[in-house]
Amino acid sequence: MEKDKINYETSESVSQKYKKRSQLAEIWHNFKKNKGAVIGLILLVTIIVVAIIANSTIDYNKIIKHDVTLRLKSPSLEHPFGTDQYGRDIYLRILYGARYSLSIGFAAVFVSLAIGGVLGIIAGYYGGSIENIIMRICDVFSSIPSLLLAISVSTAFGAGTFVLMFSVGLVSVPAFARVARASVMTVVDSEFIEAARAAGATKSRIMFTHILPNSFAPIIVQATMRVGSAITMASSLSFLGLGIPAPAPEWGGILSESRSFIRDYSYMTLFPGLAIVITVLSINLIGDGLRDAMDPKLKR
Amino acid sequence: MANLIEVKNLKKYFNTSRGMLQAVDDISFNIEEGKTLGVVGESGCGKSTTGRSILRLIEPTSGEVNFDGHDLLKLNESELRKARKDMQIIFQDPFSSLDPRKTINQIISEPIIIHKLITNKKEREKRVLELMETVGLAERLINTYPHELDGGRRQRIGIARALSVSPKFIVCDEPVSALDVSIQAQILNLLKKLQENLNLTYMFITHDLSVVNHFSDHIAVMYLGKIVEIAPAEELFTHPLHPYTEALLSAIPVPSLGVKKECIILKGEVTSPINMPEECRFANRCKYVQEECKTHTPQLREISTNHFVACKYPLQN
Amino acid sequence: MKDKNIILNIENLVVYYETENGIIKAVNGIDLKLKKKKSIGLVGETGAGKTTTALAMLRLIPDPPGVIKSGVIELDGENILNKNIKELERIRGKDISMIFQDPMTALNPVFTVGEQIAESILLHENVSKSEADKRAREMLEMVGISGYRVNDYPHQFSGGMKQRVVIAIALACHTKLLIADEPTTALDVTIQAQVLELMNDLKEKYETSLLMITHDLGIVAKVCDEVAVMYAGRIVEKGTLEEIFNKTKHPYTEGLFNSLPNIKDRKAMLKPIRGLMPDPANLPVGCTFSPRCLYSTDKCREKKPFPRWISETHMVECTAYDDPLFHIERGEK
Repeated sequence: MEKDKINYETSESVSQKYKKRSQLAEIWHNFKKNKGAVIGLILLVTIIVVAIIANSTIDYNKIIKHDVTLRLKSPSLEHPFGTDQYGRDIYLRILYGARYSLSIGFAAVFVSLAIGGVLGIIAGYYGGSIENIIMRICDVFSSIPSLLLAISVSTAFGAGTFVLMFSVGLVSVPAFARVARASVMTVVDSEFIEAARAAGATKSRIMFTHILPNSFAPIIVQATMRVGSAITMASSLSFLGLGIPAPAPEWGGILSESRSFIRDYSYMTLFPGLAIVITVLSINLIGDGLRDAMDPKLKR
Repeated sequence: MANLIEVKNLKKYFNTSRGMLQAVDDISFNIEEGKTLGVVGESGCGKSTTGRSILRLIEPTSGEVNFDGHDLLKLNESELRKARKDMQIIFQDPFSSLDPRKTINQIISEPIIIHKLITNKKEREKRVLELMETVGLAERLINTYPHELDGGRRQRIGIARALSVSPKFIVCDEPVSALDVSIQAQILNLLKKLQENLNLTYMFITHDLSVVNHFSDHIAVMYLGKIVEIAPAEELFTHPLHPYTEALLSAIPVPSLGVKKECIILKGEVTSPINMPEECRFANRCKYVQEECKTHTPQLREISTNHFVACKYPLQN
Repeated sequence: MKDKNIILNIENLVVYYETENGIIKAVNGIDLKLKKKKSIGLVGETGAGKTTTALAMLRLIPDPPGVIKSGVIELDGENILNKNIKELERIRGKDISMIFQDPMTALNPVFTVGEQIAESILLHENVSKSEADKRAREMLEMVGISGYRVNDYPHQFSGGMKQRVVIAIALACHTKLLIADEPTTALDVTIQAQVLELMNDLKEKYETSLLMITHDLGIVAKVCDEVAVMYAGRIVEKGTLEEIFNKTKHPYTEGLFNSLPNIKDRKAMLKPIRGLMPDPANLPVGCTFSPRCLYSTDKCREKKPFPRWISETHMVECTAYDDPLFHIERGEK
């Protein structure tokens, strides 16, 4: 058997001497290898940075001000994305509007995670009737078409950013609950959980030290994927007039207002549409990359 | 030597949709302190369930498990958790029995942390290093993750973890089945040495008869939830009394030539362990079967010193 | 000059896996000849390269990252390595079949066992469906399963029976060469005895040659005529059963025998081989076994051993035999 000399007198702890790459660093290392994921990350970071800068530099009043003289101008150097029917610069509006999509997208997913994730973990861990009750309630919610559900919640509680975040988030709660439950169930039957019980661990210790860290991955991947659909849904709601009210330059709202001009002034719908597509795409690329990076079974 | 473990009439039944699965059906045995009981049998015989039931990782349906004088089955949850310090388990699969997100240091120290044996972090690390040295793991591996190591090393981690709380009794559930032959030998030698140095008591569960012979003082042969024969190891191999034991022994492929051994090929398959009727469970495959065997479930009885067999017509020499 | 009697001829086979973490040298030049109707055991531990060799014979190595760098593989005189996919598909399952370790996953759960056996027949022989079904039923009986079960699904069978179905599929087309990769490892020992006996019988009946991959020397003793011992991608010793068991020459082979618990001698501590098999991405210079070998010398560590023929059939690769007086503990002195 191999044996190394052990020196207990070293002042620095042995585990510090042999510090390895942590799990996070390992995931990042794998993530970097996926070109699509890295592109997605760069895109998203750019969009976020743009949103932040836009917020501090662009004057809100300026982009909502109507100016009849500038109406319906095609894209030019002065107005890179052209102007809309009220003479507002579309480029500035889109830049400013990034904050809505991003904040709603992430906040909505946070809501889903918080509610759905917790419900799913409880259902998966305790099983039995608790699991049954939770999952059946989720089934009821998921049988309602998502857009309709979001619309009903929004209508009930009125328009506004927070309501929008909540309603869009609520729509994804069943999906998160299901993923969280499945993830926990896979882990709960593992032998190392049995080993923890054999060592004398309490139920809560097992939950927090063993089950949660091992169930994270699928939940996180699901979360990144859902940001994309949350943004799209928020845009749809705004398009329908239920989201962020005009004149706020939310991308879906811009699309809505440009509807009637699509034939002759297609640039008015092209740019907000592109903005939505690129943002959602970049997030999906990141999600894919994360899923691959977190999967220990994939040979790299 | 006193008995460390006394199991009396242990039963574990599972209520399935197709009926009552009698996984462990009224078994009794003792293990002396510092000795090893080998439990052999093929898949479905209930040996793993027995091991886990004794430790109450699976709750037994009924019976008594006297560990060092106390009946484990009567302890409440917190008393049981404390008792776990004295009885540990080594699992078969070195891949799934370690938390993939924990380092070796964290895995081995977990039982120590749970039982609050060493609260100072540095002291604890010292203990982990001692344990690693004992099981033959290099110091530089202290922060590695299980997936970075091979099966043999992972199994050593499992052993170190079991030893971390200085238990008296360890259930070894097929600890070497998933390992290569040369690694198996290393681990078996290690377990034997540890038993000598630390006066450990083992229950060694395996399907591999050659390994159990090497390792055990007594051997119990299980079939469909019952112990069909139990005897000192050497005695079992030289004078098996139960037809199943005989068949099992003859089925082991011997790695040498010129050994003209009659290989008894058992006909048929194992009967279903659900809703078993009153009969000898081995009757449908036994080459010596008599009429009485199909109507009466034989009980364990002592045929010669310390040699028990559950068969109406045990083999003659 | 092609020997008509050789069913399998492998010469200097080299297989690497080219990954971004380095080149994994799975198989490093092996030679193997198997006569018709004979069986050979390919013995070694995890990582020796046995499964890679078997997959190479069927050209089933995932490419990328696996690459057959060089070598010759001839099945009944025909070179496998320069066949195209269509030709390979014709050969696989008919002239050469493989059964794997895990019977649980080898069978498709949504088809009956009869359909799966018949599928093999229909693929390779020009017969009608009803004829194929009839033969499937016959094969099932041949492996000891009642013909009435031809319409049952895999999940209705136990592990041992599933493996028998797998054998039935493999032999359905009267294959010339059967490769069995640890076929009984997942089975209970009494079922293993049944399956091995079955394989022996069928081997006789269909005159099939057998390449048995295993780490269990006991199985080799039961089923094989010849043995080849693999270590780190090379065959370090090969010969007849008698030569390998009773006239063992290579220290690794000796180590394998010593690692086995001896039924005759209980009390003895086992004599394991110290250390681990080397990382195939990082093989030692010189003899790959030298770091673990009890008899290794400086010469062993520096240069690679070459094949040495002790008899017409017995080969060993060990530099220590440069010294004519050298011998290992086990075997003939």
